[in-house]
Formats: sequence, structure tokens, C-alpha cells
Amino acid sequence: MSTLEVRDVWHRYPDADAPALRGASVAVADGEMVSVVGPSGSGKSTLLRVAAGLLRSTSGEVLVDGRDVADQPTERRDLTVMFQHPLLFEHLDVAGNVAFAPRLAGSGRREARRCARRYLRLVHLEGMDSRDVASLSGGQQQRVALARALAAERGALLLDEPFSSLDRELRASMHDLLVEVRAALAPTILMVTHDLDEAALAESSVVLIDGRVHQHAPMTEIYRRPATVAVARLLGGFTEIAGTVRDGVHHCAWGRLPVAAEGAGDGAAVLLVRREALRLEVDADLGAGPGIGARVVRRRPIGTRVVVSLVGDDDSPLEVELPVGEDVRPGARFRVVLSDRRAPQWAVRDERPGSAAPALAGEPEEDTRRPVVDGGRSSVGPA
Amino acid sequence: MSGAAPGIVAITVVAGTGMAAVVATSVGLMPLYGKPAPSLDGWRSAAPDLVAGIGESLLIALPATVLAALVGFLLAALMLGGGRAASVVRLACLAVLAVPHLVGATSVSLLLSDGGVAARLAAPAGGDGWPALVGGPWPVATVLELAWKESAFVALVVLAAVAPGHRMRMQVAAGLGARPVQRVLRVLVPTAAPAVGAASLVTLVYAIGSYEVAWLLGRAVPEPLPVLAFRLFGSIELTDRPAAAAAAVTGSALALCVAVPALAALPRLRSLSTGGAP
Repeated sequence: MSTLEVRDVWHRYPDADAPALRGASVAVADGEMVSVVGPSGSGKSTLLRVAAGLLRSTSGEVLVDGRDVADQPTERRDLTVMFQHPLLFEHLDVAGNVAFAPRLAGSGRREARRCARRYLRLVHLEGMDSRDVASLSGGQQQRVALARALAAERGALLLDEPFSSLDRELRASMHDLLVEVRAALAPTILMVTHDLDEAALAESSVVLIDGRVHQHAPMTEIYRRPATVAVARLLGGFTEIAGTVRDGVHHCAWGRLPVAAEGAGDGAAVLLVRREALRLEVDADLGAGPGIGARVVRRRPIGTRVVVSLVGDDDSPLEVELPVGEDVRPGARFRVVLSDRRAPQWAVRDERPGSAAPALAGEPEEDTRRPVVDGGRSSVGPA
Repeated sequence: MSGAAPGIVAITVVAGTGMAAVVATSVGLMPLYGKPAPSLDGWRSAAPDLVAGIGESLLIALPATVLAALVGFLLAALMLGGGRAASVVRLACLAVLAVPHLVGATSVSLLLSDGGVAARLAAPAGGDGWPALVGGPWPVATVLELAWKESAFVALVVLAAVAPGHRMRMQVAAGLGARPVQRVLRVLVPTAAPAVGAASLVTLVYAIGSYEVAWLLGRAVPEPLPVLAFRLFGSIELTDRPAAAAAAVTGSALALCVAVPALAALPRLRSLSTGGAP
């Protein structure tokens, strides 16, 4: 296996108003798995396609085992790609598909099929060598696609939303399978996904928003301490409290709240409080300590809990998560307070519209080098 | 299947009635005048021409089909490659399809005959004179005209069959390490094979049954089966009608002999092309 690094990559699609990637960098160590998450149109798939050589970046480097392969076509990059749809070769049977790469590498037919059977066993499809791929279920087809990608035995495996076309149950079984495969083979994996649970399968996750890397950390850390307001919004479940940090204290309409030292320094900052860390007090006007009066707008059940949306007295939107059964009706007034008033809160620099957002680095000139694979059309695709 | 039933019924009635009438005519059961009387005189009188006609028909149809399949596949591959060249080729194919065979045959005659444009352009180079491509011992012009027209047909059929998902298939293959030539040989060719086979079969059957190109560009003797049938049907000798019908029946039988096994083999073409493994 190999290391994979995408360094300061910019990409702009023809006729696009803005770059799809703005200096994005991701590094994956040997045998490590890194996931890339982000909202639709954030540039996740573009990043993966640039790494794979399916798309020519405007600028930046793609390093496989430390070697810059930005000028190399896909087939020479020592990595393989697995897409959202299995895209199995219908003219080949199951083993024929898995044996595709070994055959390309020069293995004889019998040897390649023997190798294919080994990988089919790994994905729990033993005995299905001669099956027509069209006769397989969606989950089985995706297993064959995974076996085919693994059988290529290339340095790194790029997964582009590989399980998003499967239903929840199948996706869960594919997640288990991926864990098994990693335990058995320790492949280097870069996976793009919009599923945060899926992203958590990786050692670390990169949050890509508007073509920029906002955070690269383990998913638990991202959930605990989102680096920006945009990351918090992607994760969902945070209430944003605008204000100013001075000397480790956040001053806002709620009052004064202590902030974690690792967060934003002095200046405009947004407190990001998980909705389950808030509670409602009955009397909206007479509460003590930090908090804010708010009116309930609506309630939305999520399993055994209910999410209550409120509008604060300063017109800020708030969300509080409560057990089902709490008597909270639209129109009622409460005081929203922190469950633990003394715990330091997580504050991030306020980059929201209207605040002083950090300036982006200048966009490099368009690179007019030839596309890598499949003619110029390959440079136009979904972000 | 039930949705296609009206179409199948219409085709069966028209084609079936026509074939029954031609067969009946060939064996004397539908004479132009007089009482119907079973007779093989039509078959007997045309037998030598029928045998020669089968050979001539295959001599035209087989190479024309092979050429059309090869050129058509290459054109389809060009179109699948994308870019400006693909647009030009696609437009050219559509334009070629719109030209009637009769017009195409006339154009080829003006281009390739002894006094044609090509002969005149080649004249200053000297040599032994222009070969008899039109009306000569080998049906070169006929084959070229059919291949020219039908290659556009094959190309568009293959394009329609292969284009969906083509780019992604190529990207997957590249990701698995396939070089451009390997992608063509191991992915594009087997993926396109069923469409090429089906379009070629249509071309072959058409070439066996088409008379106007061979009539304009071919030699007088021997005549391919459709030209023979056409000539005998137009003969002032009304007793030639059973022989004309016999030629038509032979042409149809020849087409069926080619089409039925080919149709049976088509579904297996995909696996035959690779044997289930790359």
C-alpha cells in the first residue's frame, strides 16, 4: 500500500462562477482511511476525481508514495476508484470482473480467477464466480465492485460515495464489510461520502465546504469541536450564539459564558452549543444566570426525543432537544439555559456573512494541460 | 410483449401474405392467366441463374457487411471519444443515412466508373488504366456503396447501445489499470459486440435483398437474386413470373438461413467475445 497526498489543489469547471476546489489539501498515511465529508456541491467528488486523475486540476499536486503523479493518467497512478454505482462489466461474469485487473497485470486466466475467488471470499461471495452480474442484488454488485477494486492491488483505494445507493440495512452490512477488509488488508483509503456515520468509519475526516478544507480531525473531535460555523451547520444539532470573546469569556445576549481555551481568541465569535446541552426553564422572564427568553415555534419528533425550535428574544433561532412527553407547545414562552452553566463552551471565529471572514488565497491561473483520461469531457462532472 | 402484439400481427399478416403469394406463384398456384396447376417449371427454368445468383448475392452481401461492421464500429468509437471530431462524425453519419441508396449508387458510379471522377484524377499518373470497379468481374463498387451507407447505420446503432455509461466504464477500467488500448479491447469491443452483431445482421439481410445498388453498379451476368427477380418480374414474357417468384423465394430463404442462426447466436455473442473472463 501507499501514501496519498493531495496538496493545495484548485479546480474550476469551465463556465463556473467560482472554483470547485480552493487550495484543498488532504493527506492519507499508508494503511490509513480518511473520509471527506461536505454538503452537496462542496467539491468532494471533484477532489477525488482530481486525485484519481479523472479530472485535471487548475493547480496543485497529487502525490502517491511521495511521487507527484499530477501529470500521469489514471492507469499509471497506482490507485483505483470505486464509484457510487458498481459499474460492473456486464460482458464478464462475477469472477471475470474481479479478475479484470489481475488479467491486465499479465496473470493467466486460471490464475486470475483463482485470485478473484480469494477476494470474493473476502467479501462473502464465495461460490458465485460464474454468476451473471446482472442477476446480483444491488448489495452483491457493490461487493463485487469492492472485490474488483481490491483485486487490483494498487497503492490506494478511492471510494466515491460507494454505498450511498444502498438502503440502510445493506449500507450497514457494507460498513461492517469495510471494517473487515481493513482489518485483513489495511488498504490506504480516501473515501468521499455525505453520510456522517459512514465518515466515522475512517481514522479521520476532512470537512470540505465550498471547495475549502474547514477541518481535518477524527469525527468524534469534529462533532465535539467543529472548527467553523459551516462545519457545525453541516453536522447539525448546534445552536449558534453570536457575541464577542474577551479574556476567555463570551459576551452575548445570554450573558457571560466561559469558553474553552482552544477555541476562538478575543474578537467576534460564535458559541456552538449542542442542542442536547440546552434545557428549557418554565419562567421566561425570571431566570437567573446566562440564558435567553424564547418562544416555541415548532416541535419535531426524532425517535425517542423531540427537537424544539424556538426564536430567542434577540430573534436568534434556537434548538433544544428534549425527551418525548415534555409539555412544550408552539407559542409557549421559556427561558433557554445551558444544562451545565459552568462548563467552558466551544467558541469559533465568526465567519458568517456580515462578519469579517478570512480572505481566500488568490486563485491560480487556469492550467491548460491536456486532460488525463477520456478526452476533454472528463474535465466536466459533478462537484 | 403484449404491447408489441399489434405490430407483430401487422408484420406477420403483410409479410406472411406476401410470402405465401410469392411461393404460390413460384409453384404455379397463382398464374397470371389460366387455371392454377402445381408445377415446378419456374424453378426448373431459373435453376442455373438461382445457383449463380446465390453466389453473387453472398459475394456482395458478406464483404459489404464485414466492411460496414468494421467501419461502423470505428466511427462509433470516434463518436464515443467526444470532442469536435465526434460531432462532425455524427453529423456525417446522419447525412449518409438520409441519402437514398439509389442516389448513393449513382454517386458511386460517377465517382468510380471508367469515365468517373476518380479515373479522370488518376489519369495523369498513367498506369494500366482504371480498374473496372463498376460493372466489372468483382462487385467492388456495389460492395463499397453498401458498406458506405450501412457503416453509418451500424455506427449510430452501436453508439446508441454503448454510449450510456461508456465514460464511467472507461474510467473504472482506467482506475483498474487499463491502458487506452486495453480499455478498447477489453471493455469497448465486448460491450459493443452485441450491437455490432445485431446491426451487421440487419445490414447483411438488407444487402441480400437489395436490388438497386447491384442493378446500377454490378455486372450483367451473373445477377444477384434480387436483380434477377426484379428483371424477371418486369419481363414482357408473362411465363417468367413463376421464375421471378422462385428467385424472390430463394432470396428470402437465403436471408432466413443467415438470419435465424445469427439471431440464435446473438445473445451469446457477449460471452463468446470474452469467454466470461477478460
